[in-house]
Amino acid sequence: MRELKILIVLIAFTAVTYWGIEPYAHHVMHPHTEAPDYAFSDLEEFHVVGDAKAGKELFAMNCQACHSLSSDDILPPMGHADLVAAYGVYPPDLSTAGDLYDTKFLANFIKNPANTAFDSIFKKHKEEELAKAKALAKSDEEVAKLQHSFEKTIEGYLAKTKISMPGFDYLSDQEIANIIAYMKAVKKETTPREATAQACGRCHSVNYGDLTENSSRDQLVGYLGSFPPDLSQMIKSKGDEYLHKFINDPQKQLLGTAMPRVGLTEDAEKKIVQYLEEVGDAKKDERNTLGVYVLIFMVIMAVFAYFFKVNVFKEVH
Amino acid sequence: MEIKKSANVGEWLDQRLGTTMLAKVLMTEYWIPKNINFLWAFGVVLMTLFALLVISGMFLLMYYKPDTALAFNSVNYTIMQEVAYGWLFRHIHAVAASVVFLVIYIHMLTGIYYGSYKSGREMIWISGMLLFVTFSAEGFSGYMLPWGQMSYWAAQVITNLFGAIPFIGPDLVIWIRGDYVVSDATLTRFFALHVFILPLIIMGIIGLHFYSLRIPHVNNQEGEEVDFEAEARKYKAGEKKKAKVIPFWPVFLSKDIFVLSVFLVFFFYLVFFHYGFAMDPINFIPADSMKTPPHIYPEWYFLWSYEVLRGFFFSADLGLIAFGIANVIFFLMPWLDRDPAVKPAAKRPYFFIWFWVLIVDLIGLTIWGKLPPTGVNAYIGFVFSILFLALFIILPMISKAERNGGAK
Ligand code: HEC
Ligand code: HEC
Ligand code: HEM
Repeated sequence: MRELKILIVLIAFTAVTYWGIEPYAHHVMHPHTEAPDYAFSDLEEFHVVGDAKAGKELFAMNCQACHSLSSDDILPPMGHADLVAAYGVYPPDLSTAGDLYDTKFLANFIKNPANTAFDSIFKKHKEEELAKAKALAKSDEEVAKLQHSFEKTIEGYLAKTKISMPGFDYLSDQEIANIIAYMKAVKKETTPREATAQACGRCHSVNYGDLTENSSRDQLVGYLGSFPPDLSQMIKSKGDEYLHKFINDPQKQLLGTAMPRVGLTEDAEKKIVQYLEEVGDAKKDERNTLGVYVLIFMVIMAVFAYFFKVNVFKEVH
Repeated sequence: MEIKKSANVGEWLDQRLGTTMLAKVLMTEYWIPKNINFLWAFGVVLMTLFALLVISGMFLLMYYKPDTALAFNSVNYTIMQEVAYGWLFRHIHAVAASVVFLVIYIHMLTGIYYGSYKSGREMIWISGMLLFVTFSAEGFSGYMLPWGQMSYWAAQVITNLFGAIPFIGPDLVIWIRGDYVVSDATLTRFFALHVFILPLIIMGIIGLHFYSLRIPHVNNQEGEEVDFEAEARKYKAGEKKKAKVIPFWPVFLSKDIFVLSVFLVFFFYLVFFHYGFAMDPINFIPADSMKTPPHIYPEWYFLWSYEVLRGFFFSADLGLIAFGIANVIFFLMPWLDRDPAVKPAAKRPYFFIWFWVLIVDLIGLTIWGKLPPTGVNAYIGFVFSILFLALFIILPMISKAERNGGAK
């Protein structure tokens, strides 16, 4: 009985300590953030149905200067090195764009890339911050100050060009919808690895999966202002929940980050996180299977040890 | 002495090494009191964990590369993904290194609760504390080896602490690091410490710790003074039920093996299914001297002393002094406790309160040691730190009062 009491005290104190340094500390250090928004509800809705045939022509006129589309035999306009030199980063092949990217996101992106990938979300987050600060502000003067610093921040942020693809705001909504319909008509299904290479590969490497980045370190830093880290161990360092939220909207997790919102559909994002797990935690299945066997073995051993003990103690008690 | 022809290997060895005698001295006639509980099994659990650390460590050593350019991938790719069952050895090593401290703390606090550090058991206690210190150094040096962000920044912050020592501080930091900053030279020397120098020292001290148990014997639940020779004679005469002692083997160990087996179920559950606490996520980001992580904290088992350091948030010097005291104060337990009678805390009213306040304080320090020291957290940490120091200031007084019969 006394031993049971001791055991309970031991477990209780250990559990409190564990709770404090793990779940509770994580909760304090990483405050809860909103779930991913796959509807991209901050973006404008396009209410037109596209025509793929017309889209092919528009694609040739507007996009082919930079992008290849190998699934419809459209080759890159120049060599790899020249493209990177010209645009700072490799303009991705668009065979998989119709599969990977959300339609609404694509439409907004083509119209105004930087605003869709960065500025509108950055601005939205800053506006939320501003509203909160204003509510706490004590005087009109303070409010004016906050407003001023907010405008300065936005201005500074916009001054940094981050996406070298030009906006196509002179195209009509119909024309943009046509291009998207075309990309969807010729789209190629992707494996998790291909999806990652297409959506992330122009910036990131995944060394443990033999995906190397498309440009040199200096080029990437020159273009983005910061080096996109290798993704091999991200599943371990960030965990899948963070990855989903971050990829869906980097600014929500890391305000002011140089990584653009890429606009993946939920399915494409799942595929990519799945790939990062396959690469980053390659032995997961082996671990889970072996773990069960080892635990069964240990439990059986404990039972034998118990009977051995009882047997030995019979003589002395 | 005449060597006779022996009938079997056992006899052959016995004639040359005295194995029968040795087994008696170490096992079958090494006497342990009967009146103990499962907390006395934790020494053997510690020994097992140390063995697991050494064995898994040897396998890791076969593929690990102590070079800042190679270390991260040699651990996270070569060992974790390429080598057959490399991941298993790494998980065992990391989880054992973390859990060993939980068990050390339980073992230490058991010693404190039952007063097992005084009246002849001082050397057991001191050798135990030396094990704690060397294990801490072992844990700290090992954490650096994967060369992740936490490896780097924890090393940077902790080695920096020595810089505040008057006069020699700045030079000392460079001497420890082997460079102005934590760098390749730091990694290679911590590697040498971790895989050879410290384990060797630890094995020596474990020997000393066991040896120091011989003469005073282990304590028991009631602090009862046992006449080991008389009780052993009873036991050998066949009065096993009446004797107050049991032999180390097979009786004491049979229970230890059971406790150990139950512990190992828990341990392997952690190894396979719940290892995150022992391998910090941040450490899966390669070390980057240009990017400070938003939160830097040491491994959980250093958090309480780290919090004593941070608790004095208004003065780095005071914090450092308190930190220095926290790290050595437990060595002095046998002398701070002024009551020579060996009794469990339950029979010492003041000390009983003192003990549980200490536990709560240590847990509080550990939890607040991880939280960011901002706002009200800084003050809570300060209160816990002051309380920690205060506990050791009043210990001599309350124990003296108890000795004088102030409390029955
Ligand atoms: C002047 C060269 C250029 C032209 C013309 C161009 N793009 Fe791009 N595009 C780029 C570059 C460069 C990137 C990569 C930008 C980055 O990651 O910062 C890109 C990226 C993209 C992406 C990936 C978006 C994401 O979320 O990852 C899509 C989709 C895309 N372009 C579609 C188009 C379409 C459709 C057209 C034609 C209407 C077009 N582009 C015209 C250069 C161009
Ligand atoms: C246009 C370039 C670009 C593309 C495309 C891109 N990233 Fe990034 N990514 C970056 C940059 C730059 C950073 C570094 C951000 C920083 O330090 O602020 C980054 C950081 C990250 C991080 C680390 C986040 C953190 O908390 O530190 C993850 C994870 C990540 N990217 C995943 C992805 C994934 C998955 C994809 C593909 C779906 C992707 N990225 C596509 C540029 C890019
Ligand atoms: C990894 C390191 C250690 C190992 C392998 C170890 C092992 C052991 C073993 C096998 C025993 C005898 C059985 C028992 O009472 O549990 C013991 C007893 C003891 N140890 Fe340790 N120990 C270690 C660390 C420590 C530390 C850090 C302390 C505290 C400072 C300590 C203090 C004691 C005390 C006081 C006893 C005697 C208990 C009693 O008499 O009731 N040990 N140790």
